[in-house]
Amino acid sequence: MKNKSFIGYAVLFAFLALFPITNDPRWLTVVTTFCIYSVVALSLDIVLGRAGMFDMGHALFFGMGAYITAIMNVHFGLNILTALPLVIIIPALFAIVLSTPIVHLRGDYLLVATIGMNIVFEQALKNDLLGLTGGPNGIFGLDATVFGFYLDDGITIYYIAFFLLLLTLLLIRNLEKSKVGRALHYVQEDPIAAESLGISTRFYRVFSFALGAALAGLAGFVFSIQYAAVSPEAFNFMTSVIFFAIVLVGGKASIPGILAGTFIMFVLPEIFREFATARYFVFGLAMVVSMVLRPEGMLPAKYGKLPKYVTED
Amino acid sequence: MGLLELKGVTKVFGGVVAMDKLSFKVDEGDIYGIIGPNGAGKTTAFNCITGIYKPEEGEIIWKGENIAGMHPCDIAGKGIVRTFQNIRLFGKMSVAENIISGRHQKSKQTWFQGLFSTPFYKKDEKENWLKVKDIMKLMGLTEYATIPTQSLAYGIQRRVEIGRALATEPELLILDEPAAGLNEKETFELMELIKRIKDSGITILLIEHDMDMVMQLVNKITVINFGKKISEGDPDFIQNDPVVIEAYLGSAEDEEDE
Repeated sequence: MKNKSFIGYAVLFAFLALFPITNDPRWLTVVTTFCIYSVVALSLDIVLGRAGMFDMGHALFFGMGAYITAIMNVHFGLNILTALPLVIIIPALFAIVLSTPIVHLRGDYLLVATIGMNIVFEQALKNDLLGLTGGPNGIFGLDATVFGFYLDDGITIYYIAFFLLLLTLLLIRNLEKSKVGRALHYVQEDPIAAESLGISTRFYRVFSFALGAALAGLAGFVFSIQYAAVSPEAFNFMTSVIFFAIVLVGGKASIPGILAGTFIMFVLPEIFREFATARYFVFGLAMVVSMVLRPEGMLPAKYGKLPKYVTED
Repeated sequence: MGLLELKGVTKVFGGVVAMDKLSFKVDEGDIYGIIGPNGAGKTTAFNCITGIYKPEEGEIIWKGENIAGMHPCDIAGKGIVRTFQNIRLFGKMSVAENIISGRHQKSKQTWFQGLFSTPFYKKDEKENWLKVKDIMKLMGLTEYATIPTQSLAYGIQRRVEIGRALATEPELLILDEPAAGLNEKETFELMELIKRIKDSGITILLIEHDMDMVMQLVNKITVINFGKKISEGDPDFIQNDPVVIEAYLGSAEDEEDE
């Protein structure tokens, strides 16, 4: 059981590590985007899958990371790396401020509130907020030169995105095995029972938003370097909906589920490109079918993995 | 001064007074029983003590501090932990994962240490899992350690819930009808367990319908009817109090017919 998932990850990582030798620029771009979107989906999963908060505005934090990078680089002429701490901290702070007043809301009400936030964010971008966000066209021409290296070179950005995915997977694996990760699940499954054991539902709900936003912001940083530009459409409500669907179709709180979900939603459409827009018809249908047949997602999360010293005598 | 004291606690739901100026005092080392007909307001009293409801009036004094209206998690942090009438476990998770939830307050690792898997995290994690292992042994749950609690029999789920509460190392354990749904053998085992918990130095507050059990276990009883206290005393006194016999024991007969 444990070995099976170990082999699965080893094969996936080896494949991703060696992928650039195919030397196919289009697919390199697709797989780079897959890595970045996987990180966003995994970050949303912390909020939606692990803490059980219906966040349908997660593209906001992804976009915030991307726009912070672009604004600092293009408007203020700062080196791209100087944005690195801010793309983590600012989205996390925003998440704390935005989520604190709404985390006590029940699922559907919270959903509406987060959609509203995403729409406000998108409008702020489109209307050139403070003359910084560049309006409907966004911001072009990021300069991703660091010590003479071009980070936006196809293979370089690929490995940056791959490294980001590895880092995210490591953090989430640690989270899963820690007190905080378990607390998120308790708060999701029975908030009253969790509270009565001394687990603050409010703290962990806000925490899940902050951590999810920090990771999404970091993904936005890499995303903005990859395209050397940012625009509002990439971070609108529709994007949030797709990430939301990935988590539910893949399996809440399940790392393999989220990776599979991202693959199906972003990579499969590229494979079936010749079918043009008809392919989305199939995906919409597939989402319906998978929810009916596998309401827990394709690869549901498994519990009951205990440290060895607990089960052994 | 008692360990826990309720002074004139009143809870109103949309004009209906569910609990009317309830007062009683639990001393350290008590097994204190609260009885009363269905709908008398017993669980409401528990919900007020544990912070799930905020009482409109009155004080709930824990070790000299008024805890009325505090958040449930803060009250739990003070050493008051409860079980629920209709068992609230984290059903998808295994027995061990349920019990370690009780270690939340005692475990000192921070989110940061957990995320980056620091040496302190590893030490803390191991300490707490070993505590869980001890509790599972004590409660006879070791064989179910990795099984999701939702697939376990009712009697075992009860034990998991009590084990989870014990994992918090409470000073006051509040049990809301712990014998509900248990067979005779399980009820007997539960009584033995409650006595052992008491002997380990934990004060117990108990709601129970099983009169035999209440009379054998507790040293003091408060009887509630329509949200009001109608009598208080030791089991012998209560059994012979005409007010109680009229209000409660009469209707208890009806319940057995259900």
